[in-house]
Amino acid sequence: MSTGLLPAVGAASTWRRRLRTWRLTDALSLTWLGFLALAALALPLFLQLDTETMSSAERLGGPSAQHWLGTDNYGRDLLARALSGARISLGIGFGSVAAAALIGVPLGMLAGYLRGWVDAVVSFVVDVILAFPGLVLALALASFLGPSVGNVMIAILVPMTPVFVRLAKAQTMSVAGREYVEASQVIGTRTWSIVVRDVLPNILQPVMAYALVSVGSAILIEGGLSFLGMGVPPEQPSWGSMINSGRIFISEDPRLVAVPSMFMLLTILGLNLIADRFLSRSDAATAGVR
Amino acid sequence: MRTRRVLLRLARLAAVLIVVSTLCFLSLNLLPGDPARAILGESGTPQSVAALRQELGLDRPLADRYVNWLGDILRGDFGRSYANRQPVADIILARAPVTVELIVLSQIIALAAAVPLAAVAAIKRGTVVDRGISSLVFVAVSVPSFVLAFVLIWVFAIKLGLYPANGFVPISAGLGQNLGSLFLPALALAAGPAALYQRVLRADLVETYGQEFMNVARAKGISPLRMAVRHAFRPSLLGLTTSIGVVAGVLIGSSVIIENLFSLPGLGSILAQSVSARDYVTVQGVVLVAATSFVLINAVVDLLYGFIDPRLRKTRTAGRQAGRAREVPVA
Amino acid sequence: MTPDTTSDVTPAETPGAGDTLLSIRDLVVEFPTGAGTVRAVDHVSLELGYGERLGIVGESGSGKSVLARTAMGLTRAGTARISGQVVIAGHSVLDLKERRRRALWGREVAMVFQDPLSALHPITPIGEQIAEAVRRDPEVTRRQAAARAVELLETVGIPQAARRVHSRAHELSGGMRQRVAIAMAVACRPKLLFADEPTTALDVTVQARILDLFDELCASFGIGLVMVSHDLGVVGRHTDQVAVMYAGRIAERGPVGAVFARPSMHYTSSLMAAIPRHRATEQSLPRPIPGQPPNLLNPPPGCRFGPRCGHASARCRDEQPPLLALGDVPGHEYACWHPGKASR
Repeated sequence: MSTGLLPAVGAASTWRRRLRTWRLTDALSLTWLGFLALAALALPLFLQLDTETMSSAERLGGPSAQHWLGTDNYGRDLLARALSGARISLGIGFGSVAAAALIGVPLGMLAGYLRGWVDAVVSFVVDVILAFPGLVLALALASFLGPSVGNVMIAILVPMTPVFVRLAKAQTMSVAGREYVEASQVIGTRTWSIVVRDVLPNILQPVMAYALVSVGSAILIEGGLSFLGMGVPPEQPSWGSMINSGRIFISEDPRLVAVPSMFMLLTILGLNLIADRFLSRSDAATAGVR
Repeated sequence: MRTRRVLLRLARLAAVLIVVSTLCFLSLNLLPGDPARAILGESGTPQSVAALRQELGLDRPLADRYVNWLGDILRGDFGRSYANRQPVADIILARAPVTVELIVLSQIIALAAAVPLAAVAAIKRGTVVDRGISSLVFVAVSVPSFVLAFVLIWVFAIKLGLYPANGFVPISAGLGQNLGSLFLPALALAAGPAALYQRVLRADLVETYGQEFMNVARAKGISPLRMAVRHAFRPSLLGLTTSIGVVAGVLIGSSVIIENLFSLPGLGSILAQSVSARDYVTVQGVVLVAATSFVLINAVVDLLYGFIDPRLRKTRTAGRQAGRAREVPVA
Repeated sequence: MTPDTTSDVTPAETPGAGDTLLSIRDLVVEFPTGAGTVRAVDHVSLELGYGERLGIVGESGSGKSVLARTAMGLTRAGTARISGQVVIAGHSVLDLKERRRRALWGREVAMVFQDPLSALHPITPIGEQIAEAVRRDPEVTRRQAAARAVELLETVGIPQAARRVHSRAHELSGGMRQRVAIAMAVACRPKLLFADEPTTALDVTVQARILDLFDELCASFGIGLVMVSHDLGVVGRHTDQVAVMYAGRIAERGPVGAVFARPSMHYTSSLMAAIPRHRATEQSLPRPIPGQPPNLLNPPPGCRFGPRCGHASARCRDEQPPLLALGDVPGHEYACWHPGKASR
């Protein structure tokens, strides 16, 4: 990044440079995620995603023209259910991460910039929340609050927010020591303005990268909660609950577990790939000796 | 001077633990409506609800209840499980060793895999070997542990019939069998952490190798092997140590699912069961134990910084700062 | 190895003055870069006898550090194209594989690096680091090595050596750390010692004492010294021979007194004129050398210093001057078409 009097100039040009160095994996992951997003958001409006029709005649069928990925133990179309689950998982994933970031990053920036008692209080609260292992806390919250999409999002964002706080605070502390911040302080700029205009743009990149990775984590937690029956209400298909109900059939027909698992895996992998390539700190073009 | 710092740290630790336990205590109040009714659900008759309310002391003022509860906890009385009327403390004591063994075993597997891979990747940095390992690690970090668990079950237990797909064999019945029953679940849990450890350790090793004292060691005529083990290793451990602490928390969480999958009688599985059964008293106890253990593990990790790098004994936050801003999986 | 005794001892066994300790013949070192090939060392030849001290002077980018490191054999295979010959105490360094070279490092030849702050291992106590260097001699036991480490600390002038042996690098000042580095380097009485800008990172007050330490050690242990520096003052007072480098080539060399008294190549004289001196007269104002060092990707075909030299002619632009001997002083050579009287 930058040292000295000017903040990282030319951030836009590094973006352009990275866009030019596309790789196969980038294309693949973006395609997958784009497909999922499209399917999740648009298809239900245009096609009737048929997740519900049960047909005992078609139980546990293999891939066919009518059911591209086969059917589950109730004869429901696996592909349709997986896509429907995508909508829920992606929605919850992005939603809870966005909320966690919106709450956590400003708190972290304030703690990192102002230090003193603000830092002490914020750090203490963070330490208390982070004392509870992530999934355990999410599970306990989800069970206490009751099954609903909103509650699942709360259950995920409570353990996630403190990590954003810590990340934002660490990044802020390293930026706050830079000379251009000192320069702003010396000419009397208000704290608020310094934080928003000097600090924020320079911590945005690592925060965004982490946020993208967190979406994967959030999907994982949601999957885990649904697997244990504590996630979204059972009427809505979710990858986790699909895996759970497919468990017993694993020796007969692993597809019931494999399909939602693969969807989950590819989604998380795709998110991590993008986060790594386009948003990670080390600019591939200038990262030392390769 | 140093004792003052130690005392401050202990005080903060105690404060965190107190607040944590208070939150656990208050969690029952999170329940919409009456906790007793929530526990009993539909099967609750007015009499059973009243009886449970009395047992939980729900009619007494909050402060009163809190003090009593705290006293009970400190004496080891975690209340009674509603599902099977057993003291929660007994349940926890019986099940904790399973979870501990599982987690320790996975950490060992993860480190045993990660350290050599990190060393190789660091020494051969930039080569095909390094990049190959990095790709593998990237995938491993993205695979959820329960997906991996299913793959392992399918391959080893079903197709190959090598391992039992579930069930736990205690050490008393034979160490080999005990380890065998834990092997697949530990492996499933270990993949993600191993990948993280490899990444972190490799990065730190590469940074250490770039330092001047490594050049000086080379010019002294020290062999590459000795340089790797005696010179490069110890200064590169900080990030790894931080990660071990964080991963401990992740594993505690993941064990809930993995124990469920492999039918292991540990704390994770009882947590899942209690949550389903609305046995909130047990949930409360297990969560408290989990959180307290995690806090203590991190306290130990903080102490380790001072052992690894004596320079860090001077500053309080240097050690934690050393590894903290790294990416870390939440589950 | 003879057991060590502290200073005041005449130089240890030298195979006879006149035998060459270090012989560099026609050394060329090139680094491939994205933009082209950089020739950091361009046909350099040098010689040094046992127990003698040579200073290599030049600006940053002159190739002096590359010269020293390559001569010792430290440049890793594959990072540079090297041609030429380097013989240290009878070993042809460049012809040896890394493992054989390693056998020489720390025993026959050693190096002291520039930055003492980063040159010592941050965690291992300094006594152990020195003992590790001592144990390069396979016949020394651990206990002997530990004792030798304490002695070496005393030899390099660190007070309370027995206690300091357990200190760690961050507990020592820059000057003390450099003394430790020197102790490590001389632990096995190498025949040749390279010092790459050993005092550049130190406070001025400390520099003189470190340089005196070099003098003492080289005299008492009979170590041949190659000291690389950009500082003429350092070289002038602590070496016997000097070689001035510019853009990868040797511009002038010879006995240090002679070269400084009669700099013949204009780079040398410009260097000397650029030094601030304490004198009352107007001539004491330093005169900086105009221009920039040449781009080593595309060096000028003639004399490298030509573009910046006030006395350059067309010949200087087209032909590279060879090293010619200055008649009256043995060993004094310069590479200049128009050698000048001293212009100070």
